[in-house]
Amino acid sequence: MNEARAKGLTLRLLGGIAIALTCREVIARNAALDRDYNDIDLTGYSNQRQEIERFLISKGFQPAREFNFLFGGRRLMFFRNADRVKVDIFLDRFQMCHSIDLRFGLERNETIIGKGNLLLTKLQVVELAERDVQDLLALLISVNDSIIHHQEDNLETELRETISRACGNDWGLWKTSSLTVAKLSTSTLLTNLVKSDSDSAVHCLDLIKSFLDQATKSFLWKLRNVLGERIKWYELPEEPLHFNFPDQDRS
Amino acid sequence: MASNEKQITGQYFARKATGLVRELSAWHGFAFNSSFINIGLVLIYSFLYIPSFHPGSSMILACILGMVAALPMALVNAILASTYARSGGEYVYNSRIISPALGFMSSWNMSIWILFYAGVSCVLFPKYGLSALFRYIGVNWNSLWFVNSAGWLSTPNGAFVVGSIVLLLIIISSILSTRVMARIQSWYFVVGLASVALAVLVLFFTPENEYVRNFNLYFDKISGKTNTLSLLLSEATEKGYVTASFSLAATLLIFYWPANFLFWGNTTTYFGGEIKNANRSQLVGLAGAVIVAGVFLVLITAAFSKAVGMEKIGAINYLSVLGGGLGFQPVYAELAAAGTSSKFVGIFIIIGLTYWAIAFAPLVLGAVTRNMLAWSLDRLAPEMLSRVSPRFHTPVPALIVCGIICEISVFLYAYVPAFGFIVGLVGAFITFLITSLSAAILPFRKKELFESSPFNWRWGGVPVISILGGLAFLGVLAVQVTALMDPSSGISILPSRDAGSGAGIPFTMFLVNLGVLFSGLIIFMIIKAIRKAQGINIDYAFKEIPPE
Repeated sequence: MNEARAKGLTLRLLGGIAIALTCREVIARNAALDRDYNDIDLTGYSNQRQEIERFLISKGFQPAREFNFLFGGRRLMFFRNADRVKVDIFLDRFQMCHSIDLRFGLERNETIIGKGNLLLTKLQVVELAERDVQDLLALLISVNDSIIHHQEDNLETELRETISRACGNDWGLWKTSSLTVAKLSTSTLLTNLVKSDSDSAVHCLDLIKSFLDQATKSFLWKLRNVLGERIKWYELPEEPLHFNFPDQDRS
Repeated sequence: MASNEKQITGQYFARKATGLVRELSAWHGFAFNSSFINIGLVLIYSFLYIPSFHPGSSMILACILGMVAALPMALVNAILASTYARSGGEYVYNSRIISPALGFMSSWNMSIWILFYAGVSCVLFPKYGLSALFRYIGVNWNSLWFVNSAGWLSTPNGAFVVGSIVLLLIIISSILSTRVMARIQSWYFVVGLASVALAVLVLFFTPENEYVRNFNLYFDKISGKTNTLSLLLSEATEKGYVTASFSLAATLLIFYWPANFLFWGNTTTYFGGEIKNANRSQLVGLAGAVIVAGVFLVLITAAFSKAVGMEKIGAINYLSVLGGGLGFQPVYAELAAAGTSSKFVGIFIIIGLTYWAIAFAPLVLGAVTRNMLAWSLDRLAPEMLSRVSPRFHTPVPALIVCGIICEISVFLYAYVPAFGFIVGLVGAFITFLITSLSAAILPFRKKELFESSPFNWRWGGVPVISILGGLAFLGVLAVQVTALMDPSSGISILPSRDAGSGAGIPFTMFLVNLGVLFSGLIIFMIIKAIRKAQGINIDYAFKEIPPE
């Protein structure tokens, strides 16, 4: 990441590894939140696509050529056979069940995207996998601790603004995030956490719920709200077929 | 910990790490494939040749037969494109199932012909689309400039100049944003389909005497005479136009006209890697397009039969081919628009025609750039062809190569009469024959892949895909044989035949088809030799589906 920064590239971590780095202490004291990590998720600007590709190739990564040809305007994929590392780069936007604009705040000189966006990338998941719940709870606990202990200035404001901006303009994202918050509140995983952390997670969930409820809703949001759940409000990402390391395909 | 994991597993979905939201849905599949089938062009060419030169043939039955013949091919394409959900369509499955050489040859052949038709499409846009639109505006709003411009647009010079400009605009737009192009095409398709539906309604609900009155009001202004329809019928009869009672044999001989279009609804196979929920979307998009297009063709033919009678349509088109009558070919949209008393309904119907005239071109560019990508991934094409612009994220080099080939076809179609519309039929359909063969042998050549696919159905112990492959093969063969038997098709295996552009020209066109086909094989062998000299064994790439 430092090398990329030195070359003028804006690349920030997101996804599971970003959460693991952000929530190291929380995960250390809650074994139930520990998990394996399959790939490295990054985000950057689409206008730096060529530089990003050159940089990763110089680091020994192979591009997923068909994937990058077809979807490279919004997402890039790279592999490195030597250490079985896969890198997934979202350009400008994170597009899964919902689309989230990640450009805001990307210029801050940090390794990981802002906590508000990090939280949204997990809250937007419609079909929650076990690891999503683990990541979300770890992040909620960490966020709550930071707010209570004033470890980060303006974190609560940043969260409120990020959630309000994204969910106040996108009814679908608001709906899924609200449903995710509700699912987490009743997650059995909460009972496997250290009591104080479990309380922290619940407290933070209440905070997020209030941000979602109080978000300033746009006209389009209100219009979409009239239709409600009668129309599908999310996408279900598919698994790219035969998504193996190149040498696995030829074995 | 283990028990905790067990407790929480089962409540959640077992989603894997990498998720991807694909953009092309079943709707896009339907729109793209319907555009490739192209209801508008089926009507233009079927009206031009079926009722006019084949007395006793039934266009309605020809459309139904065409639909029945094309459906197995659509299903074969859907199953293969779902099984091999990759860019490149028949290239990927023919090269993996039969042989790399045949795979490349079939894909090369298809790519050249669809690029030819993309160029043709750019010529048809001014020749039929804009020309009809300008004439309709000119006649109804009394503008001589529009009427004269309509005449110029259908001349070789007009069609070439405007066709070249349209091609350039499409190439530039495709470079700037493929996504915006796809969005525009989807909406334009809605206009095109709605215009045909409107034409059906107008014709069904217009009594014959009213249709004839409106027709004469419109065309009298062009011909400068009164009672133009009667005059056209008399002139056609004088020049040898005949009608006959229904004949199944006559119908079977010309069913290839609607059928050959209905076989073309295969665009989404080239976009295999971009189709959302491929198993369902390919099936809906490919089979749905054939069925809907077939139904629309039957409906509009029935509507014309009811409003004016196909024998009159035949007479008008007969004169168009002979060079008499109105001096131009009034296409189905203009004939429908002329029959309505509402100018605005009429203009909408003709605007819809402009879509069908141009519908091929942008889709072909998308399809062929995917083929080039697939060749490039297997090292059968320069890496440059799979390169995208860092600024626009589109394959600029591949689009420019496609543009150059299309421009050659714009010239050929505008100026060389031998390159008639149907001229690529025999060659292009050999690719369909190879693909049907791939489908038929898939369960035997790729047992594991077949058994693990969602389409591993059997009828009486025989794999369904093999049955469909066999039926598709027969359907393709029927179209090819009947086209070669028709003296007016413009292509023939008989060196003496003359389809209007000179003796021996149809045979030369047959040789051109074979030349395009086998040039693919020669190119494959040359590339293989070059790669071998570079120390690369390209056969290795064909052992598996290309990695993403």
